[in-house]
Amino acid sequence: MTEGIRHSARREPGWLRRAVSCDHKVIGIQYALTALLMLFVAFCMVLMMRWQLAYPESPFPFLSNFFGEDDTRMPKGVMLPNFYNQLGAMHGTYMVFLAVVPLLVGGFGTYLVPLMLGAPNLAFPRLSRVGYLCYLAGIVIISFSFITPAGPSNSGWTGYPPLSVIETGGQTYWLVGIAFVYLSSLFLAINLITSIVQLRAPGLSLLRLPFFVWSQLVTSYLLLLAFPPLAAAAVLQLMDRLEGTSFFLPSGLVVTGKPLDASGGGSALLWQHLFWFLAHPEVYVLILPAFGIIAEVIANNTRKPLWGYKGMVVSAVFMGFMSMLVWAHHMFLTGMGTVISTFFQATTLIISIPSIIMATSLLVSLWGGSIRFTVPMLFALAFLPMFGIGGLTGLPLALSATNIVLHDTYYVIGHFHYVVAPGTLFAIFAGVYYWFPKVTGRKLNDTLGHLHFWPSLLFMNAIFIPMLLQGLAGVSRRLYDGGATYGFGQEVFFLNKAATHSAFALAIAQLPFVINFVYSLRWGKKSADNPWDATSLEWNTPSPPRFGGNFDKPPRAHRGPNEYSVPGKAKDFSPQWEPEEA
Amino acid sequence: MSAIPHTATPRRDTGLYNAKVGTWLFLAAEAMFFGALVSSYVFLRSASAEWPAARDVLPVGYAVANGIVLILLATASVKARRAARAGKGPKWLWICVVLAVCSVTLVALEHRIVGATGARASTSTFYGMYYLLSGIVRIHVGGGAVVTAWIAGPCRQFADIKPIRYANWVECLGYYWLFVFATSLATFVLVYVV
Repeated sequence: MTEGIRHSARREPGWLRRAVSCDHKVIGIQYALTALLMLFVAFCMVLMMRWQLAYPESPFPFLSNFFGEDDTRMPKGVMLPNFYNQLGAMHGTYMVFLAVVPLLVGGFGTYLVPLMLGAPNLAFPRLSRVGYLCYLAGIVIISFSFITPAGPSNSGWTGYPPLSVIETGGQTYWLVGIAFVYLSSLFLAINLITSIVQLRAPGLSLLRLPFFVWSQLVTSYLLLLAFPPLAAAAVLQLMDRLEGTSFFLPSGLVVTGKPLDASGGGSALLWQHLFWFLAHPEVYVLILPAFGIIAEVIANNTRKPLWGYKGMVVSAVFMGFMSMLVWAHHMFLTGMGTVISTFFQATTLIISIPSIIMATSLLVSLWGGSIRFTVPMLFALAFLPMFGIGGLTGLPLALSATNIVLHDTYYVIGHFHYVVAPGTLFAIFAGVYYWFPKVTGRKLNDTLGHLHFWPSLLFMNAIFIPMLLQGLAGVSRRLYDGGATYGFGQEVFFLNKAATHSAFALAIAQLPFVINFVYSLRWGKKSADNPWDATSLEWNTPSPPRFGGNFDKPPRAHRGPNEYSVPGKAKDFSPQWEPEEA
Repeated sequence: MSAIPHTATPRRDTGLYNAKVGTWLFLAAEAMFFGALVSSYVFLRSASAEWPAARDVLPVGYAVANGIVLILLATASVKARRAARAGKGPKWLWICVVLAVCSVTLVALEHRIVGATGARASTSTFYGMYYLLSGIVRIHVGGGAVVTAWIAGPCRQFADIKPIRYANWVECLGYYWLFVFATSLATFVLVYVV
């Protein structure tokens, strides 16, 4: 039952009161800005790693004067192997746990879902605030390990034991930080699912929800159900590190020539099972909201309803379910039996079906459309082939025979990054350009947007195609010097330089976006409430929506989410909130 | 500031109020958390060359007594829900708190007895799992006791101001206690019986 709106007679609250409020829009923006910052930090880390790979043991430009000769990480700007490992672990951790997921679910989801539902806020506003604070705590704890003498964790973003248990770096900080990130995800998921189930506006049935909301719903279920096993695994590993248990330490372990002082009897594989039970669904947590963003942008810019909307919804739900049955394809190298590996090969191939249905639906949605090549649409159009390359290069990894050959090579890095870098990140950029006018009341500059998009598309590919080629040549992805000291793969070693130069060029290509973002916040062209002539409920609010309440009066949904170019209508868009004409 | 719908009264098509949905989702996540721990137990036990019979090395009496206390606690939580719906006082909630404190104390005593034999979590994966599983249940019971005391005490004033929401909170708390009981029962069966 909607209890109506109580208009406040008080003055508009100040910035401090807004900053600590439980308004979903404030928290969504805080999530988004924090996650963008983490994205930047993680990108800087990988630039340093890329320099090391292209120019092993050469001083990093500009940094050599900042580090003394006795520095334990980068003496005179030259990266040491342990620091390379630490940066690798932290790059993955920051990108996956602290940047992309919080940006997609915490930022886009928290901000947009209540608006798309026609709701005044999320179902549990205080929980939303607590979730953000847990996310911040996770960032602080994990980042704090950088200033400890031993530095951050160096056992990869996967935290594989036994190294993660016996290493002396910041793995404990990593584990505690991940526990806080888990709490944040849990609260986010509970809030979003409850809101979608309970707070839909009258008339907004499940099949009238924008596909973006469906993507957030499935993603939230994945976070809700797949993250707890990693939290349990983190508790087990903390026990191993702090209490001396041996859950992940096998008997008879010898470290640097000496038997390890532990009772043994544990299994390193147990961690892998628990970790990948989260981490594979996490891939779909990274890609499903991206699909949701792209679906909204494509429908709006083709001026057509989504082709196969119901099929996309069913595919998203099926993908979410199947994503929990594929985790062990990351473990083909562990010597699992053929029966088990056959099962996971089959499920992994099956899960490609819903992905293909969704991508194909978006592609077919372009057919016959009156396409507007706006900046968000350019990113959305680029997303399709980039995700396609990422998905198709994953098929050989689904089969254990080819996986065993490719698993430890750069091919895996190239494949995964095609999915999440030009895939998910392009979707994020599409979303930022698309909803920026709603959030800020101002539009981003189109020229700067083009200057951002085209070089980004070029250099993203210039980074990751070399990785696929190096991987096919057999170059290991675990080499600190990029393979310089190995005779193996020398013919493709030069590609390290190509990828590194492209990475730095990509960094420069982000400058127009940063300038555009900052400039447009204050001086951008003012936007109308519905600048894209869109149809879903969030466009029925002022731009930006008012603090503390979203709609002037409780909205009612009269039709589906993407009713564009309906024959016989005067306009080429029929918003959900407009009643049928008599 | 707009009011959030369905904080007290159920939504017509789902028949649920928000807190009930949220509680179920939270318990689903908790079930996955415990499921992972139980799976880990089964994994380690099946891979272990030797695994002692818990009945021989652990004080079963304490675990049985704790199980009985948790049965009483689950029953009291049901009574508390009925009392809240009827607008009665928080007597049953306080009984829940007392029983929860008894449960935590029993587990502490059990740990002390096991510890006195020289068995630590680091002694073997068996003991590690024992301390971990019973400790996690203990944390859940202790945390539940704090929340129950908070609802029975400082939040009691809401029973007069917002009686339906207050009764909803007590109902959700009841789901939590039933979940904790089911989890501890599963843990007991896994560690002592199977």
